[in-house]
Amino acid sequence: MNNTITMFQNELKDLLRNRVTTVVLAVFAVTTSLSVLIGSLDFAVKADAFRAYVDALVANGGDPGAVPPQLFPLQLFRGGIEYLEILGALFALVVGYTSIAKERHRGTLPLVLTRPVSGFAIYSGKLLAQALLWLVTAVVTFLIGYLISITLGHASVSLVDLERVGIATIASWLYLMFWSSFAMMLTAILRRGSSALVLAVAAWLLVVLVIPQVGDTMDPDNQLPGGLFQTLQIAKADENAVLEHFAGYNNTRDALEVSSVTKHYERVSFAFLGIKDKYNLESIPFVWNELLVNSSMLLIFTSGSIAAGLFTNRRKALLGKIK
Amino acid sequence: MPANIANLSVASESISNLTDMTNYAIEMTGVSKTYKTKRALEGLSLKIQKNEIFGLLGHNGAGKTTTVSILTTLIRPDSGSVNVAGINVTKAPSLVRSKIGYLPENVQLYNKLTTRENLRFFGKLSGLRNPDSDIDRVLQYLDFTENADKRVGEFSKGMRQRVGIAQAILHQPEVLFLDEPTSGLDPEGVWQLREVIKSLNVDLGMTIFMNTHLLSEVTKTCTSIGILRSGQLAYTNSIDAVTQEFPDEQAVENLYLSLEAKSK
Repeated sequence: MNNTITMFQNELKDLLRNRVTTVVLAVFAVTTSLSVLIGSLDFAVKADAFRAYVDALVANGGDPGAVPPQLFPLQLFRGGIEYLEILGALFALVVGYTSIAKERHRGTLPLVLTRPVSGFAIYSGKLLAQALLWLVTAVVTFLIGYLISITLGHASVSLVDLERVGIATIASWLYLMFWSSFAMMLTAILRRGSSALVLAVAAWLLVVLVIPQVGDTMDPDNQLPGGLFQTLQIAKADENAVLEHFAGYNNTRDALEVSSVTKHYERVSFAFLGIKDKYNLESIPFVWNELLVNSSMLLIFTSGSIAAGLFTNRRKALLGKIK
Repeated sequence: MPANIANLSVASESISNLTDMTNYAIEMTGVSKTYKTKRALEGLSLKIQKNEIFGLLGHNGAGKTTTVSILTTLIRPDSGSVNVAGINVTKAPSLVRSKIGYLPENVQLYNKLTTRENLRFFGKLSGLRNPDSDIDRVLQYLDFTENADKRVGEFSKGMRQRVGIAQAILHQPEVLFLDEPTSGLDPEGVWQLREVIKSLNVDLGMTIFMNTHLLSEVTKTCTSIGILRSGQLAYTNSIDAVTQEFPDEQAVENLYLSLEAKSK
């Protein structure tokens, strides 16, 4: 345990003094701020327009009890989630890959391995430091979004909304941890660091971009603008009956999406933040119940990846990395 | 007997099974190592007494680095027996690691960390719970205290070598391994390092195993030498005996060249 803590402290110092880490955090801060800022300004314009409309009504002796537009401030986080989903995964992959690779490249691995330290301590110490880095990244991303939405967007965010943001933060953290530990596992398995990086990026491409895109394209709601069933004027209740006739097609689409950790992360975060319209008026217990499979799969993917990293990052594998 | 004391005596008994009380700091018997098709060591046998400064000579590819890698537990031998500080390296590698210090060729450290932070890291990994007082002592010993809080990335090769030595001796190892320690150093750096190596041996009683291809280095630093040729020990003796056998100034060089000539 002592060696794990020592490795953790060293890795954390190294990460904090590394330019790449600074760039990663800055990119997240800037992109999230920009996306939430644009959304917030739009939100503020809509809210102000509504207020002006009510004022005009009152001035003309009308009824001020007009129905307000449905504005969901948590939907402003959509951009931040998408950045984490795509860029965050890529950054986590690179940080995970470099955690062992940098020791090899700069030649510090022999010095570490001639100490009475286990592969477990090296891996777990480094992973803990990354866990802290990704937790800070997720918290900062959502915190910036939250602050901008309440200040510039004039959005009112309730305690329940904060709880939803908290759940999305944890989901983001688990998702980033998946990619970090996945890259560490590949680096341990493959003898050549460059092969591990190429394979990791190929996996990222497939899991983050290709599979979700194919799944989205196969979604009947995305076949036509406004949705296939709405265009065909098929009632929501009858959708399932129609889809039963296309079970093979639907199962293929489901299987594809279930295989992507990105899709699980997206479904969980979109549902809890109400970005998916279907959930934005639902209670948290209801969303939990609906998203149980996706939440569990996100947890299984992440813990599986961490366990695989633990199993593969043995001392013997690390010794094989010495030049 | 209380359970914890019983456990302790069982633990010390199992350690004593792995530890061989001997006068030798290093013992290698019939050690072989092959990389795919290339045989690096072929039945190497070598004994180095405690408190020696041993210099292992050999041309490139003779098996010097493989020997040091086996002794420092970085690779396992295919066959043969290896004991360091009386402990078998294949049976109790972790115990061996706690007894050795290692300075690789072209030592690489954490450039973004200061000298003290680097040493604290390596000290803790070596089992020192609170290494700060040891760090102060070692830096003072190496006359490097003024650089304790500077980042290692700013240092010259010679300064880095000092930090490298500091990390290797911080936990007061019984055996210190130096792989081509003077490689890349300027003449002043070489002289300073030589003095440090000698004083470590005299002041702290460390056995030092030095791996080099510089013939002049061994006569000036070592108390005994070995010459490795094609994975086997071609010659070993004390420096005093070597200089008696080859009385001119270029004693070791003559010996080395004569062995090389024999092998051709």
